[in-house]
Amino acid sequence: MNYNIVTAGVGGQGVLFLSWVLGEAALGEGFYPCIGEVHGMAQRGGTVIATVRISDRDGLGPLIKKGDAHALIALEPLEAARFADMLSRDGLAVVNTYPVRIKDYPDIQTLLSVVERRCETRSYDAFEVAKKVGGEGSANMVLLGTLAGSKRMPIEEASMKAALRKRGNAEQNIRCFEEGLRI
Amino acid sequence: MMARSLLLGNEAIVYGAMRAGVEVATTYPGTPASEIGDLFAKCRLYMEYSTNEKVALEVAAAASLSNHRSIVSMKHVGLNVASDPFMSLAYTGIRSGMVIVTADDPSMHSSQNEQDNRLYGAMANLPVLEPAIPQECYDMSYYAFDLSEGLGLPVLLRTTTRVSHSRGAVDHEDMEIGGGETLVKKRFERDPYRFVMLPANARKARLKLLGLVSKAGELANDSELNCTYEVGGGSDFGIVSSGHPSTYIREVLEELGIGGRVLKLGFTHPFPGEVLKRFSAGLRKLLVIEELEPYIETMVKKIAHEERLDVDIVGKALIPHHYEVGPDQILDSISRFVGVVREGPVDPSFTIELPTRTPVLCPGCGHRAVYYAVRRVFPKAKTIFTSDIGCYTLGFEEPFQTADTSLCMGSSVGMACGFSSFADERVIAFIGDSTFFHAGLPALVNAVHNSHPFITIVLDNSTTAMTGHQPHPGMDRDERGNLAPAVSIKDVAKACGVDLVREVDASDLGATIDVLKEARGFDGPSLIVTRYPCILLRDRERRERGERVKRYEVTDLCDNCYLCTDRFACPALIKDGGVRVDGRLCTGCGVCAQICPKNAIVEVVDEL
Ligand code: SF4
Ligand code: SF4
Repeated sequence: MNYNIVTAGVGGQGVLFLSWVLGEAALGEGFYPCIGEVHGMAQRGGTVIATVRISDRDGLGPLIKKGDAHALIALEPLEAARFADMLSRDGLAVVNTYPVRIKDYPDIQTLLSVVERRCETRSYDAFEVAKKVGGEGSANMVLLGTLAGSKRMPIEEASMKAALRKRGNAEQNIRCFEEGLRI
Repeated sequence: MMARSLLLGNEAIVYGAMRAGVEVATTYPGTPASEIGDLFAKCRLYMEYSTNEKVALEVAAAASLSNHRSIVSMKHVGLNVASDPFMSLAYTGIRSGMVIVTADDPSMHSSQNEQDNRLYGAMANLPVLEPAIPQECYDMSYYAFDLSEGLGLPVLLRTTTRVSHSRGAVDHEDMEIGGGETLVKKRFERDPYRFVMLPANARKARLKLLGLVSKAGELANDSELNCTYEVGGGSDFGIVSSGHPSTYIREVLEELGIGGRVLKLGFTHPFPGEVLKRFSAGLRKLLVIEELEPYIETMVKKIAHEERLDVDIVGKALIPHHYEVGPDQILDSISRFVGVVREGPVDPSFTIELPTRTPVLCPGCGHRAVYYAVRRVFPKAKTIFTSDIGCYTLGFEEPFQTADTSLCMGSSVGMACGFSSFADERVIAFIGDSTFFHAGLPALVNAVHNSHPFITIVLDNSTTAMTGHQPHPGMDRDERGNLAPAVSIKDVAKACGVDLVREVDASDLGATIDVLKEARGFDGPSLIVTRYPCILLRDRERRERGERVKRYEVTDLCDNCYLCTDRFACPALIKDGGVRVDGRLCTGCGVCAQICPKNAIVEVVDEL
């Protein structure tokens, strides 16, 4: 069994935390997670991508072949479009629609259509949702909740919550995660 | 007792070393090696951030000679800086186990080049271990100390970005590694004939080293780190691989549905020739899958030639010589090698042209104002800007374009020495505070002594920011947050004999421009320290203290001249049919308010 997830966004948006939660939850269920992270230069407002592979086999490498990702969590629409072709046709994309703008930023609807034409997509302003339950900083957890709520992942909600409890800001993160479950 | 944790490759190296009883860890931070030092700084041992990698290696070597197990970690180009002591330490050898970690960066995620430091191991005649996953980082880091001590040689533990920055399940001894600084002084037994590399001693040491290499070769041939497995049934097709690419081979063979014999190497120098001979018996086709240089390929071909093996060996002819080698490239090269015809891209995805999101200086970084001021005072067409390694390489981007060269750590000042004398333009060197100490200082001394007239601007953010905020000699804190004597850049420059030395608050635009004008009128080496603490750090501290951050907004006075967005380019200033401040990004530095000619950007005053 292999389950491959791409998490993507812009430096500072919490991509690495998102991938850590997935990995820690998978570890808690006895799987062998492997996460490929990006540190350093790319974290200064650049594109950040982390690949998460969850397997019952040890020793896997972190990278995901094009078209082999079962899910994409994107914290930003441009970055969602950038990595859309990593998704398999029967995958699921969960996308935050709030943009981090740069020069020549494309139309948001066009960006979303790149993802939608690839596979099933759920997109919404995750900041707004997070703000409603009191934690704009936890928008990434809302999106994670939505992926968890799709019941496609091999890991349970409870394991993800257990992982969240190991780190700071747990209550707010869990609230946002639960809010995302319903979307 | 064993435990299983989700660890970064770099963290697993620390766990392995702590398990091996390491007592001294040194480093100079550099991506992708930085987290090794970051974690050691929280461990129960002596840890130091040294001024540069050369010093770090020398400190660790002295620790080993005085009977402390030691480890020194650095990024690949760091080993260039440390290569001088590295090469000779192979001659003197060491006493207690000593491990040198080099983290290479294929694809140059955060580096100025990609280089294969396995070749340094081969050049220095030192053993090289190559972990592929975090579990192996732990296992090999632990084993490396015994290997080193047994041979009396330092061991090179070589990772790559994808190994150092992979996070995976690691089974490790359940131990408490955290704690404060501990250090036990021990006796250094003198042995000048061994440790003083006079030519007469070095000649003997060279012969001894070559003897140790063949002993290390036997260990490599017997090592469990070099292992063989089969996928599918009997086949005359073999693959030799090491490091990160080796992790995809089983999956790819299974996906293609072809059988093959795989030799996965972990102890790669000295090359385990006997293992290869046994492995290749009966094979007709052999593919070598490795990143960067054809090190294994060359060794395999050499052995095949010596042994007259009748096997078709291919490596770099199919595997890219550049960048990371991942599952896509491996799938492609194996299919081509064995002649499997794969379906073409029947599934072309719909896509559009997307702008790349290049790294930029953070919103509210005070040093953006310095670039802005420099471009106001010095015309780009008549100024050569030498830049350096660190956040401020980002001055390369529009709208500043204040980087005409950037080679390596400290090269801004060294190259400015040359340009200011040989090119007919004014020269400005940009360097960061940590980099100034690392390798800028000798070049500054050179500038004074050889009268090279240029301006050095030290962008002082009071930390080593790009690698994750490690301390450096200019700071009053050490790696554990304790008070430490700070070395003043200003005083150092004065003591070197730089006549014009100034210090200015980077976010004070008017003051910065005044100082730049003063330096412009000065003939001779000058140095300006522009100070502004890294906004990422300060923001974090402010949030922790629950402090209110100043907010700015654009008022009706704005006439859409776009000076602030186009010439200053703070990422928090958003241009969409006018200008607005993105409250999520703005850190309240207030520089844009100094820039706007219409005074349209103002601080938001909260109503009581
Ligand atoms: S105050 Fe102005 S320059 Fe400073 S961070 Fe905010 S928008 Fe950018
Ligand atoms: S510099 Fe001032 S007037 Fe010009 S676009 Fe910016 S806010 Fe408007």
